[in-house]
Amino acid sequence: MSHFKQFTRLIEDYPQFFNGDRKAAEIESFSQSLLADDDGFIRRFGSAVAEMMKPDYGVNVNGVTSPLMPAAAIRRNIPDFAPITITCVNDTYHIPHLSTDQRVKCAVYDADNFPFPINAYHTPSHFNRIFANKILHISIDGGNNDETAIQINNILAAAVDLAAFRRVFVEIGGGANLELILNDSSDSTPHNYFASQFVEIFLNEGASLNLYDITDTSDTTSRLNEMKIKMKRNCRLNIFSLSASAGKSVNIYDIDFESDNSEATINGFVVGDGNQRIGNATFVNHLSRHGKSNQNFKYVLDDASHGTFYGEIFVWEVARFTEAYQSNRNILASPDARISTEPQLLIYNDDVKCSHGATTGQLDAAALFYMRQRGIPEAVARTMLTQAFVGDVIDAIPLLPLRDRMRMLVEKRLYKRSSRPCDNCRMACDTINRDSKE
Amino acid sequence: MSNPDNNIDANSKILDDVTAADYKYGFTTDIDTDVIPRGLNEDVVRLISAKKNEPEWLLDFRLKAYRHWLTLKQPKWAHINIPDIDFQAISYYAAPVKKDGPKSLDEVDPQILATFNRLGIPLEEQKVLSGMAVDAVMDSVSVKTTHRERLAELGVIFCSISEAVKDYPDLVRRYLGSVVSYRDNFYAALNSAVFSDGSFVYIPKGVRCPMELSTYFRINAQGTGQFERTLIVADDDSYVSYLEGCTAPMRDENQLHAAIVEIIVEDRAEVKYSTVQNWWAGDAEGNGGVYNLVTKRGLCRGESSKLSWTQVETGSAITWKYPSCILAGDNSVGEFYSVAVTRNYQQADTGTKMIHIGRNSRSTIVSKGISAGHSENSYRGLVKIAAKADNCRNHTQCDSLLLSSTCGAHTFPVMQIDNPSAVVEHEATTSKISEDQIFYCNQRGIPDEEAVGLIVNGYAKEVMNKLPMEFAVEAQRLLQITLEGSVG
Repeated sequence: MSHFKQFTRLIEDYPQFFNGDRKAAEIESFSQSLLADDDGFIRRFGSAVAEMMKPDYGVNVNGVTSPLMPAAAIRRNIPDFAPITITCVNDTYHIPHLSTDQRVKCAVYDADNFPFPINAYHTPSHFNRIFANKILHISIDGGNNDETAIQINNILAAAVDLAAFRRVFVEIGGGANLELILNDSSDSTPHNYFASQFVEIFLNEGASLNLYDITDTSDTTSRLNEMKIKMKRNCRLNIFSLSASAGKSVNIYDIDFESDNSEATINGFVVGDGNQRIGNATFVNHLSRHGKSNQNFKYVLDDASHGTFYGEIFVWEVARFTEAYQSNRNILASPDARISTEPQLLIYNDDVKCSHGATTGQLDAAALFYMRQRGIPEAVARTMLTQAFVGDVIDAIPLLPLRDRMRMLVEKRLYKRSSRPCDNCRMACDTINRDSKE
Repeated sequence: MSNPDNNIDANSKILDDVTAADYKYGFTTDIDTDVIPRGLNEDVVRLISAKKNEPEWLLDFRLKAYRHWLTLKQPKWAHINIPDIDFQAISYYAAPVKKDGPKSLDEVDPQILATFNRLGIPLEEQKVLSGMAVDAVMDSVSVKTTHRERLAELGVIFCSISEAVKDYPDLVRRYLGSVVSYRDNFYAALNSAVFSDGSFVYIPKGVRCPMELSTYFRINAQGTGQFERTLIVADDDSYVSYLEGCTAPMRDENQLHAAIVEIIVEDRAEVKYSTVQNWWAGDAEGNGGVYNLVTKRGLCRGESSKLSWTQVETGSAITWKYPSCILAGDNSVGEFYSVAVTRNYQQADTGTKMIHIGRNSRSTIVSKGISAGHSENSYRGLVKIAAKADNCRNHTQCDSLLLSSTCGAHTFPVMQIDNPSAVVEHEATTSKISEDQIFYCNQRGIPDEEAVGLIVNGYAKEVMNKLPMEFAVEAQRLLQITLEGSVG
């Protein structure tokens, strides 16, 4: 329990907020999952979690509502893109008014009144379940192929060190298409923030989902995120895990192929510098036939940043005709950067095509030399090559406005490090400049 | 798995008969017994040491290991289903009945020779034709050593470890436990406490060992664990190729084998360690079979040193084995080539660790897993690049071939890279033999089973090529025999 000590102490010190049978069961299952560590979460990410837990966070046990911050919310909108925008300030969800006949239903429930079972899978979701008192419920009716786009802006803003707990439950009806953007950002402040997030998504037959999980926070922000996605027959799922800037961040993506003939891809990149700790874990469970999965993760780590990747493909005995691929490529750009990668395959069936690959290396010295010969300063050349390295993940983003934005975000972030002056830059950084005054 | 209790009942009678005589005199003093009573305690450790006339320091080493072992638990992290072993139900020492030392082959027990022949290891032929020095280990104690004189001329020491303790105590004391400490893991601690015998090799500076050194291990007496300990030291600029072949006859009881192999490679020296392991894997229902729980590790201490592991694993009910290289010297090279075949209910969790500490060190890992029946075959590997190890290079390739829909093939690689100049690559594929390949062979009149043998041998060729010639032929035959009847 030592990793979550300050929170377990909170439970002991303020039992009035954690009474009732449900809480007791949740606290018990959390300590069980920590103790057993069946999925190796603590073994792999324990040190990152320990770093996250260093500041003494305040927890909103009284359910105080954080007001909507319109300016901050608008600044996070993506140009040329008009989704249904839900803003979450700390742990308060602000939902726009939706007309009743719309196929999209959003509601916030108290955890006590939530009509669906409140599941938990890995340690972060067990942890989240104890403290998350509000659940955002999104459901998309099935029946036609209209596209729906929903953007959830998660904003952390408080005058104290704060821990926020968010929980999202999404149901996508048969045949519906959803673009779901989770945009995590925080202003750079001297305060430490910790966000625990658990997103559970159910795809009904023939549904398709593009999920964008964007982390663009500050060095003082920590994030423990778990996403569980269950797919029925003929589903299509694309996950983009885009960590442009994250203090300490651990993401778990757990996908179940519950029925035949579904496809999933997970594309991710991590750009780390400073003292950042960024971990990603994927669990792809092929429980049925004709499933296809493809994972592609890229890390660029600079300064003293540490990256961890754990990728698991589990093919069950019944999951015949499965195709599962995984690739993890990393660049270490500084002597103090560290990467630990574990691409794992567990296969219990012979009619499969599975492969994984992992590489760690540097930028191509020949390419660098070629560029410098042509008068490009080394720092800029490095940035350009790095940009190209993560470029294929960004290029895979089907949503054009978002693709442009991500490209800009990464460019801005990389060029900030290089000697190239911002003055001559023609990029519209203003719209995304999170350092600017409110 | 068979119920060990039944075996204990069945065997306790036999063992009681054998050990009854011992109790008459009290077993702590009777050094001539062939099998000491089952169970493990400090007295047993002292008894083993006394039987082998060991010096004080070695007894201390054993006792320290034993006391450390008591604090450990049987590890559970591997992807194998290993029953709890009752370590008190095992006899920790067995020696063949001692006769006057054989001067020639005629004097060797003809029964032992017959067994070797049945296993396809014609000792006399090898002695004459292949020029190999064979240090055959029958249940822990050396029975026969050849070519000793010729090696002695070059200053090469190749003898059993108990002889080495007597004749070269300084060397053994200096290196024993220096690579695999008794604190290393559960089985290493157990082995350090009760190790029975094994081989000791020392290649002096600048000597290129003129022949392949080889040891044949065999498990003989029933109900005894075998705890081999091999120690190879290659001094500066030397070279040695060491072959280890393991075969065990059919039997009904699970047997524990917890060996340690330690290799020290000094400046510019090279060691090649090849293994063909074909111990009894249990019957088709998964009853019996050998538990092969081995700690193998080499320390490339010297600059430009090289260590190469090659293994062909076809036997054992449970294999838990990670031949590793610690690449401490600058420019040192580590290699690992492995073919692991599992069928029926065999379980294998095998792989390697490459720990790069020296600058410019390089390592290559090629692992080929073949699973059939209801078996589980896992590759588990670690590549670690230390912060100060500049310009290291690793390439890992691990492929799995699946021959049935009920078997499992898994890969668990871990890469920890703490230095930005490292280039580390890992690739893994899992597939089955395609119907097109079989059809192509069928068209040309090759029946299914032969076709599979052909394809599998082609698949494993990359590793087989690394084996010494004599071994490669044997290993190829072994692959074919192993896969007989396992194609569905």
